[in-house]
Amino acid sequence: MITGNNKMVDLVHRNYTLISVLNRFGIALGFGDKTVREVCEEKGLNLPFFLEIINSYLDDDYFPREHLISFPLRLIVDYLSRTHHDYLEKRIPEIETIISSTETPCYRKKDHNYLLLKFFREYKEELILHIRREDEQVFPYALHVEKLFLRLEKEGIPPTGIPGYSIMDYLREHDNIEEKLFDLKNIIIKYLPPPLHPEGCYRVIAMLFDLEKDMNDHSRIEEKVLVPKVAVMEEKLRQHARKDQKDRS
Amino acid sequence: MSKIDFLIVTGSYIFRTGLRFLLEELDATGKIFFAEEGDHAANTQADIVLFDTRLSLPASLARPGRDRPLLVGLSHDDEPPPSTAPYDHLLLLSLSKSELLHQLQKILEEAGFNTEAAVHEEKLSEREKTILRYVALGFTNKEIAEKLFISTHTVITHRKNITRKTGIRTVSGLTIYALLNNLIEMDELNGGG
Repeated sequence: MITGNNKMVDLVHRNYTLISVLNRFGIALGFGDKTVREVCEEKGLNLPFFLEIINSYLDDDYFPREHLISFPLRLIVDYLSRTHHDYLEKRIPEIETIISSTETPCYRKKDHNYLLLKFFREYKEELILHIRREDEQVFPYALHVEKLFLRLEKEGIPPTGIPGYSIMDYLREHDNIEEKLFDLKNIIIKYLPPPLHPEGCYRVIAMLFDLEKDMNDHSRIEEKVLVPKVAVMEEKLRQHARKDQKDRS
Repeated sequence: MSKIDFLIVTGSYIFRTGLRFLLEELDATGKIFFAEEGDHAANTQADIVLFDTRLSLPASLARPGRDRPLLVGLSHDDEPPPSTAPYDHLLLLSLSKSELLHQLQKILEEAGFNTEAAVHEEKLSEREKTILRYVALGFTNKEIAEKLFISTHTVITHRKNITRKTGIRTVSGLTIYALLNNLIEMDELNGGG
């Protein structure tokens, strides 16, 4: 388990894919011998939150833990949004650049390159829709629920306009995106012919596996932390509304 | 080959992690879920539950029944009791790695799970190819059923088998598969919209 006393460099030695997680916290390489605590202080980061994210990334049995649920939703949502940004602005374009290359096409036949790109773009479109829905609807909704909840808890202000939507509705959508990524890997590994330019093709596969691992971690935070946290607040708000109604009648 | 989903229920981190490594060695293993307390296993969707015998079983698992998952007790004692009830099987945690794997294989086979990795290529039947063609061209299950004079239920069964054999789960993935295997032509796809 990583603590504040570990050296930053040891994190990356343990699992190099953490580099992209560090990136989301605004931490770049070149940390010398600084400890995790020192780097977090320098960057003004919430150390306990940072540690929870790192530890859950390194060990999926670490989840779900109550501490992570106790952090302000803002921190969690910000982290998730930055992850989205990483997918759409970096990883997906990187993969697309390789498989759409006309100079070093992955496959000999035009049709095969076309099919791979077509499937990839379909996946991309679906991912964009999915992410947009979370960024524009789910996350703002979650923050709104937290706002109402804190007002009620701290200032005793009764909630107004509890939305009929429930955070549970959104959970159901998650699967399909993962299935497409799974198919994409299988099509390249199993069904397309041996590549003409293997280097590019292998890089794509490595990136897809990294993306999948990262997305699993991302979904776990959404499903095991964000959703339960919001669901508890929703329930308290509804209870209050019911009680309020009863008192009045 | 359909995968088997497991739920590991034990309060011990060491046991959870160890069992997970063990299960990952089986080709048949699908998803692995974890729970630290007995109650958390009550409404599981897993096919097989590995349950620490030191924990108390939730009522829904203690009753044998058709819809109950296969229940394997994780036993700490070197001498297993004469009767395994209420468990379907007992697994001794003190066994060696190869013995544990062997026991697990035996349990899975007895319960009728297919644990052999698909060594031979799983070819699609002619019927499945026909259905895959229609799926790739964008027809719905209902439309395919009407065209082939079979029930929608039968179409769904065929589709499950197609996915199992090809390892491809989405319609667009299946379309690519159909194109690569010359079950449909590129212009059919474009012509069909």
